Amino acid sequence: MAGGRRVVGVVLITLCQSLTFASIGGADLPPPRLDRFEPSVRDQIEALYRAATQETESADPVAQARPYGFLGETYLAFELPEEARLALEEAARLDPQEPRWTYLRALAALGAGRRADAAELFDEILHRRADDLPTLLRSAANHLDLGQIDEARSKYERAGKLIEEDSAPPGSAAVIRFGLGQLAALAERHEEAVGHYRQTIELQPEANAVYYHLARSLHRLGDPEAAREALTRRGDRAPSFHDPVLASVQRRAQGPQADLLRGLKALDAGRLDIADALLHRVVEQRPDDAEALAGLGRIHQIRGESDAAERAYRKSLESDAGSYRVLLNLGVLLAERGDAEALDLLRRAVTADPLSSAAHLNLGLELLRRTELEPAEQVFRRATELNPEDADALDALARSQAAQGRFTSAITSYQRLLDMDPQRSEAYFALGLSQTLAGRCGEAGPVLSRAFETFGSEGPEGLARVGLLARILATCPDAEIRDGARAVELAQTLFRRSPSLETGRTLSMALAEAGRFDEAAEQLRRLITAVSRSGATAALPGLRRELALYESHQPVRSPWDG
Amino acid sequence: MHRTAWLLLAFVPWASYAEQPVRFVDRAADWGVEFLYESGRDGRFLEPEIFGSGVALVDVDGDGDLDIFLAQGGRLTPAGVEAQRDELYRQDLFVTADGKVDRRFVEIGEISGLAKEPADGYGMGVAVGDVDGDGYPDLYVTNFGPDRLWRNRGDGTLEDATAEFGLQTAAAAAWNVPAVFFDYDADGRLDLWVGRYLDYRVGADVECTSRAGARDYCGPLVYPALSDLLWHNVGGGFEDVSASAGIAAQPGRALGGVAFDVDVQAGDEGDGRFDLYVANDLGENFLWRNRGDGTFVDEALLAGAAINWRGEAEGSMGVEAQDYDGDGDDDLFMTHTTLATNTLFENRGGWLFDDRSRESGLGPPSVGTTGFGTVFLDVDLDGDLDLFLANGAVRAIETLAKAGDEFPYREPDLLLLREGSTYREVDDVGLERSDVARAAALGDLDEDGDPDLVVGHLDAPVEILENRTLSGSSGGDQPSWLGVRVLSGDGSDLLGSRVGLRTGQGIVWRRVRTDGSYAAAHDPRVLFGLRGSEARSRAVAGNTVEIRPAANGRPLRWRGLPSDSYSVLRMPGGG
Repeated sequence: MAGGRRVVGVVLITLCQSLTFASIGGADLPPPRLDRFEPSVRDQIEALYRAATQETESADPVAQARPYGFLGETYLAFELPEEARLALEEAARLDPQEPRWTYLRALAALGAGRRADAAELFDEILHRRADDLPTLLRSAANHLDLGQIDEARSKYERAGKLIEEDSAPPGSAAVIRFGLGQLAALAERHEEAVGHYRQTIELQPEANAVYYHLARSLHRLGDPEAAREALTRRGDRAPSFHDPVLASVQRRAQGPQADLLRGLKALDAGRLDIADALLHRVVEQRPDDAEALAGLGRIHQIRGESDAAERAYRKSLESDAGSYRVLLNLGVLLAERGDAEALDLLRRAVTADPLSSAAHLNLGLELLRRTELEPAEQVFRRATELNPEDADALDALARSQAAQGRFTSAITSYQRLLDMDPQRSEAYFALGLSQTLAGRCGEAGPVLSRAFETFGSEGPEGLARVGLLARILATCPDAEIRDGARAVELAQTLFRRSPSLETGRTLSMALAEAGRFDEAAEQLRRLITAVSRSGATAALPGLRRELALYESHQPVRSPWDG
Repeated sequence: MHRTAWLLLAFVPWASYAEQPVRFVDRAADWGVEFLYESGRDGRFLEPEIFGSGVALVDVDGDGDLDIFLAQGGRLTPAGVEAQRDELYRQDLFVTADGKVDRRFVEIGEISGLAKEPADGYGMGVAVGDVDGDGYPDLYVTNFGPDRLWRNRGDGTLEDATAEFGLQTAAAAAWNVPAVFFDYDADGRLDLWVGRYLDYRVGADVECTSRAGARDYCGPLVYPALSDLLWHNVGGGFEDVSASAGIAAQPGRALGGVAFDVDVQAGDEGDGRFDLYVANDLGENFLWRNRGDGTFVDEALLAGAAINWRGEAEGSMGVEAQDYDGDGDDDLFMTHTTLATNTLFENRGGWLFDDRSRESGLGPPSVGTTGFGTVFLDVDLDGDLDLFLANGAVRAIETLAKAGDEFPYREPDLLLLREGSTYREVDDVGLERSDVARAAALGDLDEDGDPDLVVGHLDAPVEILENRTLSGSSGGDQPSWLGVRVLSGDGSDLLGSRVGLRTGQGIVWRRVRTDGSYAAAHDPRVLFGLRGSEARSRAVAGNTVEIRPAANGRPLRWRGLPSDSYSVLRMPGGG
């Protein structure tokens, strides 16, 4: 019988254990999405996840709670509040007596903006441990956030008594003073508030966020000048105390992996100073970290510190020679400086990512700069194939074609570009010019007229468009296009705004087309005199040919050679 | 000296007031408005796609009822915008078979002139004001791309007057969202402030990710901020005075703006100059003090209206200025991103504001949502101001993304009712729809005396929320409301003038405005709710209304305005 009872006992224990395993077996704790984390962080979190969710032979719920708690802490450290909530709830369910899990749940709730939940959790701890100073301080601040003034006051006051009686975490006194100051200000007791704020600053001089609050109370006391002075010292560091639990959470996410993650996030968010500090910290510990170095290079590039950017990129390439992004960024950086090495880097960027239209575009621009026109055109063509909506690539393709004198192709490209983006005002001039140079001024006239009506004549582009339009209206062999009166009107405006050899010449052509040959000749004579005096004699033969035409009452019939 | 004008003296019997349940019903489809703002999003996560959806309620055809202007988006390409035409819905009344009057909105883009011009901007917001003083409200449409001024020809048609008024500049073709018409130099002509957001170009995007690592829209700090524009109306055109006025000195990321005279207090007419409050995304907000010499200085920080009570700048979106606490001055309320609470700055006088977000109850309910459009409105006509919030996230909501929502930014809108001195969130009022809301414009579309709302959404139909609270009333012939439209001598809405309704306890003030909210323009008429305990004393006072025109014009008082109808009050003189 005794043996039989023992057997039953063993069976019961086994059954209980099975039930316990079933309830904590991880079924309710979904695996985290860790795509954005680098492998080492992923490994760290996944190991903790496995430790928490795997079946264990321990029947001790306290022991079972611990891996969930650690997992929750780690989630918190890596800013995964929802995952943290689930893990910590499991830890607290298994070990409800452990205030640490409750405290962490409250922090997770604060991180997710669930302040009312956090308040309940803090109170749950204080119910059992009324003198827990970190909990009192966080709870009081949370009450302030919730507008629960009486609760905040009673907790700050209670915390104040505790630090008188006992040794408190560093910074506690400053946090309490700051809280009491805010409470006094809310009650319109601004003199008292000013006193609290000044004491806060004495206790924790680096807490420069207090100056804003000080300024508010000084202003309310009728001293706007003192308030303005306080505002000049304002910063974003609020008073803080040493929180051992939070410190242990932060330690979980310390180290280069966490810094890299945070640094790249800060860079994404445009917070360059924070990103800079974090990525430097990574590099101090891992001098060859290609990602951190690439990030630092980008920061320097954004700040216009091109030498430092170049150094960081080159160092990054030493660790990862095939990084498309670094090759492209460094290539663009060097191309802007006119450095010959840019071409090689951009070629390597294209090799590293053959499907990148940005890499092709930048390589093509570098080739264009070197007047390697045909290879440039091929690269631009590939860029437009890779991204048919890349207007910059299409524009560059057209320019490379026009530069080779292949105006028909350039016209097609510019027309495609303007179909894609009719607001691209500079393309109208380029199209009109290509059409004119291709001997199709009959098509160029309407294009430029439309651009003139849409965009006017403002700016250098506008003037160039007007100049070309006036010249076409004055000289195009197609009689239907020519309009002497309008050409004169445009050319006169243009010459007044921007007198030059070419605008003066256009004006002469327009006057001749309007039948005002004497004025055209006179205008051209003045130009010839000015050009002769300036020593730019190369233009003189052409000008004299045009003068001869006007003197014999004949207009010019070609936009470019009289 | 007040000139007293005697109109109809209405004696109104008092009936006991019983609280009525608030109820909104979406009538967009019933009334013929089938508009869907198309963001053009296709997985490239281009920043402008997550903004937009401007709405204006404006009587374009001058027939006395409100028409609806809706800004449209399009598709963004590296080369620019494949824009779509904005739409204008004219309100037409008709008699149903059973003899009742009903309404229908008809899209008149083709006949109104909107279709004459090629669409070239990706629509953001709308401002309404009579720029040429001809008595017809004109529209300024902000875009990602060139903005456009539509001049109202007075016959139900609009014409593009952007170039004619000198507004066709590169600065006005950036990414602009809010715009406010206000007469800052008191010359009788409406000037124009335009808030600019980010220095952003399609094709130069930064790739950002959500918390879960998926591609997402970036936060605003990724791109440089732009300074705003101030246009001085010189009669027949505008001059850019942003630099000389001091406005250009401070770049921000403006998403909201309101103009009002900060110096106005109860019983005090202020300095007669409109100041300007600007809500910036993730930056300190501006409070431009009008110095009266054509220049402005930002006093927001000293005034306590730049950052929240903690001393932190927040991601401000929409902004509202109304006298929420009935003490005679305008207070400020602005909406924020998720995890930050919305903020109420109570005007304490003397250029001092206090953050009362917590005490008022307006802050905490907003912590889980991202607010954009927002308006104070007396939804139940009980005499105090309730608050509506149009919500929609700007960063993917993880729970929705995990559930497979292809546009995981949807959030329900929110209504907060004023009860005593605080606000309470109310459910089950017809705001259950969850979408990505942006603009919220206020106006009495069906002329029944209670405020209705039009809410623009991204990639979802516009919502026309008819307020059914009054129709559920069983108060018999009790007076419910009083409506006032304030016009200048030349027939323009006198924006910025203040309308005070006398009560036994003092005067309830409302500002004539079309500005505020986010990317929206409101009905300029002022509504007073007459239900509730306050109504007794109003009835005793005989519906006396005092008008304080902008720029310290002569105040006027009218007595005996009829309840349950709108009165048009025309002030002497132009401007």
